[in-house]
Amino acid sequence: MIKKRIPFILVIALLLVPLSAFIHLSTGEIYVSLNDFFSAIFEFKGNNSTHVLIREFKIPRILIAIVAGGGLALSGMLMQTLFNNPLAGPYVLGINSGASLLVALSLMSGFSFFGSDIGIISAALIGAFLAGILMMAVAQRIRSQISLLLVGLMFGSFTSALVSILESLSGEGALKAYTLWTMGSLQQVEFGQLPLILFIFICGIFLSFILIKPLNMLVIGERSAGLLGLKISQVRFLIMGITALLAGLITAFCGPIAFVGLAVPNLTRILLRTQNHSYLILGNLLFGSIFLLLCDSFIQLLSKQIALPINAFTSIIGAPFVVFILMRKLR
Amino acid sequence: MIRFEEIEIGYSKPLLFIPSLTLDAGKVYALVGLNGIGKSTFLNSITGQTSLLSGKLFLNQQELQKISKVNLPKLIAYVDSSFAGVEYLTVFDYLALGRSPHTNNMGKLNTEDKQVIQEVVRELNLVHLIEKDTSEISDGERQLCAVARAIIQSTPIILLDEPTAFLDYLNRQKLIELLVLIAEKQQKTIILSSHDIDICINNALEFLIVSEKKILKTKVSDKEIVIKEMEKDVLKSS
Amino acid sequence: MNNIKFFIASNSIFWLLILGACSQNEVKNSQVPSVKNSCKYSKWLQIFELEKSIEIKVLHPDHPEIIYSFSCKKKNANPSSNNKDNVLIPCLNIAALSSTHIGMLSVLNSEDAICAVSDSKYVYNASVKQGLQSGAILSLGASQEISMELLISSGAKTIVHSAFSGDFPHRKELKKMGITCIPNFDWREEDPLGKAEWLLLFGYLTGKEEQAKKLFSELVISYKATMKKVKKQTKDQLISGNFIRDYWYAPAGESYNAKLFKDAGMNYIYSKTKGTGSYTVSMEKILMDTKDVKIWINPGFSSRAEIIKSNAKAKRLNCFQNGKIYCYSNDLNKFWELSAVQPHLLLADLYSISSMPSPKNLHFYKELK
Repeated sequence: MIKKRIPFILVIALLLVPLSAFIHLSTGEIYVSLNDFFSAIFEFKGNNSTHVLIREFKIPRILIAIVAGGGLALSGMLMQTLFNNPLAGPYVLGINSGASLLVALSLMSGFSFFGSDIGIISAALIGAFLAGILMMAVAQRIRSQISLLLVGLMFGSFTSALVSILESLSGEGALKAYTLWTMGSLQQVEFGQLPLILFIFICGIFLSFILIKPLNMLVIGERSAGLLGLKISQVRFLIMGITALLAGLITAFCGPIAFVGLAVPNLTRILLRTQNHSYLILGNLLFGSIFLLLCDSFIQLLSKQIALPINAFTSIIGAPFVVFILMRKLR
Repeated sequence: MIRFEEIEIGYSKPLLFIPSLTLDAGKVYALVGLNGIGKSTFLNSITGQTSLLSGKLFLNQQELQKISKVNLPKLIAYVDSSFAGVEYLTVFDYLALGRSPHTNNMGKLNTEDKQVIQEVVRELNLVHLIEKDTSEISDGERQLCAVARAIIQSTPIILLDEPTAFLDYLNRQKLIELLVLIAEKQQKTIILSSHDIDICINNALEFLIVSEKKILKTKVSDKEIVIKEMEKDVLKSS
Repeated sequence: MNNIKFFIASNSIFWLLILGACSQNEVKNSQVPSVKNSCKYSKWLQIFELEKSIEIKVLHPDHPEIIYSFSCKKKNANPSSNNKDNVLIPCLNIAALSSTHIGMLSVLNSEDAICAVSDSKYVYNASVKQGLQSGAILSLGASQEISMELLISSGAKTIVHSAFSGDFPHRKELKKMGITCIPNFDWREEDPLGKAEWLLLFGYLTGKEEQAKKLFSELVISYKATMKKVKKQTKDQLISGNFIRDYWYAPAGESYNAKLFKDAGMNYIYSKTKGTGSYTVSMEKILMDTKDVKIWINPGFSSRAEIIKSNAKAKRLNCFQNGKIYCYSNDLNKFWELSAVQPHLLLADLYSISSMPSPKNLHFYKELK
């Protein structure tokens, strides 16, 4: 009864990640050889433009694509399992809304927070964190899953409304800066920020692996899982915490990136044909990274003709896919 | 074995009074009564989902209030009236979830777990279903799997909420026979709620009739007795 | 008999109409100026000095078929006909809806002709600021959302607007009230001298055309003199523009700024690109393209710290680390108001920047620290 199929697919995916990274390197506007690549890593010279190009531009972009793709897919998976809903995504809890609101405030309201200049990244992190705490507090008091989802949605609508007000009051420059932020970007990460990002990312993955058993139990529903001994409020808290951590991190450094967290977990389930989260966690990390790497490679290819924001592209691919999932369900 | 002492069950107002009741191991009890009379509340109070308004409940000599959250699922298994199946969840993985109260933090199945599962699969003739997707098997097969999962949970007590509601006649009969067999063989206490009085009588189940806010435990050979008891509530309300 | 009468009558009418139209055409033809266009550098402004009037034509840069015609007369201006607006000069109540308009009126010392401005926080001219404070000049708020009521209440008889979105809103209604709207496309001029030449428009509107012509020819001479000083193109490479999120936007090779750089003898790295708007460059490409660039002009910020705050990647560019950065941030409002009508000073600044390591006495520019 040994199922060979799943490990086989996962191994292929594992190999596809470096391959996609290589594709990403190759589709960059400026050509670099593999030689250049390795010498930039091991023998970095600050005055060598090619080295700077690789270390400060290409590597951060590739790594953040991996982290964002994998992280959003993983968060999406957590939300979909927690809410037993294939249409849930990392943003249903309003993490994204919290981040957007604070970014909007810092860009468009003209207030300087606490007298200092808070960069966009810090604003987004704080916003995501606050939203996460708010939702977790709410979750302690609400029994049903559906109510929790609705609270998240309402929170999202509320912050959107506030942001609209800010938009109408702000000047052109600030409005444009905010709009550009909402389009998402994989190119704003610095090499020096990567260790922190990777650390938090790995923590999130590690914590998810600890939750494998509860996640598997949640597949048959919260009630049945509770009767099998699942500690619902503890597990909910942890799942929401990990999601807030990962989605908040990614939104802070990249802005909101649409559809990855919604489409990839569904894709992973369809490809692996399992509900066993030990495989799903790996699958989502790998497929998410591959997906975003390939999307960004495409954007690089087109960058001479058209400057496409990452969100536009993931939406173009993701939206039809989600429709496809819906149609399957309705069959 | 389940023992009730001076128990009031309900929410803000008591729905049921149980001064004293003992349910023995090795038996299957049929819980019957009109809709809304309190059957589900009764079952929920045994699982601890609804707190007792007063009194003490003992599961296998242990007081319910004092049983830890970890140990409770090792004592009671609960089966819903229907299991809708989940896409991509294989029957095996579903059955394996029944071992959750016993497995380690990662949910890994050890030899004992695997043995229990294999035995139940064999006994219930589920071998041909193991690799199948739970969303692609028939209702009857799914309900059988749900019961199998409860048995795999290896608990001295199993509660089933209208397990035969969506099954056809043959499957109903099969299921009840199976429960009687398991109860005897493994000395479990099994309670199932049902509206199908005939099948319960045919299988010689002992009855728990819920009427007039009390539970009457009685052996029944004649359907009329049951109906008369239940009618008492109808008369009251009219 | 009746039929014949009808035939003759209708024919006569028909031919009379034709003759009438012809003669009107003749009259029109005789009105077509065989006079030369006074504007030599501007692409969109044409001024014809006729015997009894000044004919001003403003061409629409995107729609060649649209021509705005204005006939300026000193007195007894007839009510405007359909295809031409009559303007009574000198205009004493002008609504100047852009900084450059205020600048041009100010070099003619005609601030008193201004009765309303928009975006008052960008005003540089002291006397206009005073007028705003005293209430002599009405502030109309942001240029995108001007309230018609406020505009009319200011008493403006002539509105000079930038026509970003084509016609001025409610142009026809304003015309009926005797208020003329004149579109100003100075911002679409790629030739710095062509842009400055719009000064002549304001000269005619205020009746100070001789002064305007004199100022203009002086600045042309000064501009060309600076151009002559350029012996050959400097070796130091120049970049202009800045990041907006993930992409760098630089002035394209045929744009206004590119022409200034060329005339100042600067070696602008994108001087050969096509187009009059922005040239978009990806992050990777701008990094490599600017690896030898020593001068960065017009990042759009007033300090290096602000540049980095807006986009952290900017600090990786060689032009940021090892080059000099200059922007028109000496006094932003002054730049927006006066640079259009003082291209010779702009050019002088750029020439200084390119030929001296530490240029002094720059008019508009400042080195960013």
